[in-house]
Order: sequence, then C-alpha cells, then structure tokens
Amino acid sequence: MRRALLACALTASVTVVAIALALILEGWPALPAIGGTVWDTEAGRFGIMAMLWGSLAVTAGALLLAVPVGVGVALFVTEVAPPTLGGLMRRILQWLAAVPSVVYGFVGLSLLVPAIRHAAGGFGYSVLAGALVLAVMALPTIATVAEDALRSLPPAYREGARALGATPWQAVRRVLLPAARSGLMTAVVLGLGRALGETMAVLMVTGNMPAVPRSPLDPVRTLTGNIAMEMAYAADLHQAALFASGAVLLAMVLAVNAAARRIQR
Amino acid sequence: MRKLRLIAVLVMLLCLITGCTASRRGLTVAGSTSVLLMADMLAEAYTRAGGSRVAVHGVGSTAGVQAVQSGVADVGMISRRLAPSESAQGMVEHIIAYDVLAVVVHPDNPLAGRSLSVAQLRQLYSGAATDWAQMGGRKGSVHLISRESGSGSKDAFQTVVGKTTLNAIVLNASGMITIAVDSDPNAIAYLSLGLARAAGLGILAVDGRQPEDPDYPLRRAFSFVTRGPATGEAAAFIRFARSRAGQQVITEEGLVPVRE
Repeated sequence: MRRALLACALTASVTVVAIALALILEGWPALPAIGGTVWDTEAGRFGIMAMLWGSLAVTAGALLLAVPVGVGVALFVTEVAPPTLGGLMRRILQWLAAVPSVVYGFVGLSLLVPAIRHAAGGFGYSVLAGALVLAVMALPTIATVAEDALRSLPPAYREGARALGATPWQAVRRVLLPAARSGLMTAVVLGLGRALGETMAVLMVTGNMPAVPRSPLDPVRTLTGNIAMEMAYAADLHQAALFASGAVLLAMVLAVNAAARRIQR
Repeated sequence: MRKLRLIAVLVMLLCLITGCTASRRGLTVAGSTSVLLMADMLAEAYTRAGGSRVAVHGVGSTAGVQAVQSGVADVGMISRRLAPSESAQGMVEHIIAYDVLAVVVHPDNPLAGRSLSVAQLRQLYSGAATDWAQMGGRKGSVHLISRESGSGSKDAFQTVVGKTTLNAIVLNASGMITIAVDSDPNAIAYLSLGLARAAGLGILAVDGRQPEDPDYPLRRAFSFVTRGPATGEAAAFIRFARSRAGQQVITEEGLVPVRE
C-alpha cells in the first residue's frame, strides 16, 4: 500500500520535472531569438514578446472582470442569500465550471465577437473578447475559493461587528474581507493560473495577430494559442521557439503558484 | 470504454514501431500534407472496396518525391507540379484532383461576385490597401483574415498573391473562417471552394476568372507521383482515385474532380 502510494506521488512529481526539463532542453537553442516582438516564422523571426504581452493583457483583463464579480458572488452566497438560494447559486457555478472550454470559445466566436464588432467597431477579435471569455471561465474558481475563505471565518467576527453596531456593508468591508484576505488572494491566483493557461477558447476569439496590443479592442495572440496553432508545422528553430515559449509559460504559472503558497502562509 | 481506448493507443504504437515492415505488404504513400486528408479518405475507400491496405504519411511534397525516388514509398503526393529536374529523374505525375482556393467576402459586400486582380489582392494582403473604397467597394476598413503559417492553404495563397502582412486576423480552421466572414461585412478571407459554396459566402473572381475556370489563378493540382509509369498495386490505387468512386470521395472533400 505504502509503496503504491509512493509510486503515485513519484509519478506526479517526476512528470512535472520531466516536462520542465524537456521544455528547457528543447527550447534552449531558441533562447537568443525569443527576445524580440516580431513573430514572423516565414522570415525566421521568433520574438515571443508580443505574445507574452498578449497573454498578460488577456489575463489581466479577465481578472479585472472576474475578481469583483467572483468575490461579490461569494459575499452574496455567504452573507446575504437565504440558504436555498445560496445552494442554487453554488450549483450553477459548478455547471459553469463543467462546460468544456471549446464550447466557451464557440459561443464567444459566434456571439461575442460579432457583438463587440457591432458595439465598438474594429475586428471584434480582441483582448476584450478573450478577457470576457476567460472571465466567465475563471469565475467559478474565484467564487468557490472566495466563498470557502469567507465561510471559514469564525462566526464571532460577524457577531462582534454586529454587536458594535456596524452596518452589513461596514462589516463586510472592515472585518470580513480583511480577515479573509489570504483566502481571497488564493482565489485570485488560482483564477489567474486558469486564465493564463487556457488555450482553445482564447484561440477562437482573440484573432491571433502577433502584435503588441495598444487597446482592449486590438487583436492579440497568446503564448498558448501560438503553440497550439503552429506546433504541427514547426521544425528546427521554430519548434525550439515554441518549446521556449512553453517554458516561459510554465515558469510564469509556477511563479504564480509559489506566490500563492507564500500568501497562504 | 477506457480499456478499449488504451488498447487502441497500444495498437497505434505497435503500428508506429513496426510500420515499415507491416506496410511492405500494402502500399506506402508519402508526401504533401495538403494532400494528406484526401489521400487518407481515398485509402480508406480503396481498402473498403477490396484493395490492399494503404499507409499514408504527410511529409511534404519534396520529401514525398524523394521517398518515391529512393523506394521508401510506392506513391508520392504533391500539391505542386513536378519540377523539371524531378521529371528528368523519371518521376511521373498523375493529377487526381484540383484544389481551388476561393477568395471570399460577406454576401452583402458589393464586390461579391465581381472580380479583383491578383495585384489588387496583393495590395490588400500586403497591407498596402486598407479600405474597401480603394478596391471600388463601399467605404470601410478591410478586415483581413488569414490562415496560420505552415498551413497548405496559406502556402498556396502566398505563392500567387505574395507575402501576407502580419496585421491580419489568423484563424486556424476553415469552420472558424466561414463564421468570421459570414458575420462581418468588411471581412475578406480565402478557403477551399467547396466549403465557401456550402457556407453561402460571397465569392470573388480573380483576374476575371471564375473559380471553375481552368486558368483561375488560385488553383493547384493535387497529384500522385510514381517512379516511371505506375505498375501493380500503385497503378490500381491511382486508377481507383480517378474512378467514379474515387472522384466522389474527392468531391466530398471539397476538391474539384479531374473527371466531370
């Protein structure tokens, strides 16, 4: 039994290390080439910076939208809603989390992108479209973790605030949110990881233009989308550059996770 | 179900490992990745119709010709014509189908059904012209849609029209392109003629030629290649590809058959 469990644990950790090593080794030859902002494979230019900005812009936009809403949902479920309504909300969030990403992408492509084009002009394929789709996808993660954080607060906090004559809003703002801060940060960081790594849905709505975005309405290409689109055709330095961008992505996600762990402590 | 999938994966791995020896008894076809899908479908229909097994590998046109030259493959696939040097080495091409790229716009675009020259397409796709008014259309910025680099369609398009600007929307599937063009009055894109027709998009003529015309510029032949005239199993497979049943498969793939 003990050995079997050890084997399981080893499999998991060895896999991660092996993936990281493979990415670094395969990507190494492209390291001098990936610093630029021009990604033009036909001209032999493999700068990933435009796509790095693309990933960051889409992720930041998604968090800007999903964090307030997610924390709001968590507050509603824990502090305001009657238990039956709260339970229903939680169930709906779980459904949201169960929808495959390609479905979000398809809905985004056929409804969201034309809607943005109509309302704001431009291509429609944009940072905004990617951020909106990712926000919906990250929302369940953020809301559930935030809800757990709020729920785990001692009841004495709420009762004490009430006894001191705080309004519900004052209690939330001055007592509950500060007390749950580390849990809320975890929610944000997990949502961030989800948004940064998502590939398919983003690929379908951002337009994949390899240029640094100057406005939320500009099309962008993300690192993940770039790997997904071009891996099948890549060879030599091109392939190495894709591996290198994978390594950059992995490093970013690991850094985010490390930050999360530090905050939790 | 999961066990079945595991077995399938194991079988696939085994096939990969023993591929060379197993295919000795059947037919090995290698070459252009653009032709790969068509050849796969033909191979499947051929085997179903009682032919031997056909293994199809996408390695690129040039590598396919070399594979036939060296005897590694029985039949090559090319999405271009044979080079004179390849013909001189005794390679023979057998045209199986035509792949026609349609230049598509929104059905409401006033230019739909009219003609642009290759030079005008080059202006659009190089980013030199950015407004439809410059093409004689209704004023509005041109929304260029392209394919990902490496795709056979983009290669074929760029061969005729020249390099595409980096400031284009990139979508990596024909289905996404039809949705994009169908919902955007300012969009322009290119995709296989059959798919463009099926989606009811506006189709442009190029240099005054309709996509059906034999001298339409964005048309390329998909061919099989053999060393010397085709013989034996290779000849049977090529004959099947050109038969009514084979050409039916080709039509279903959205390609233009060689026999009407």
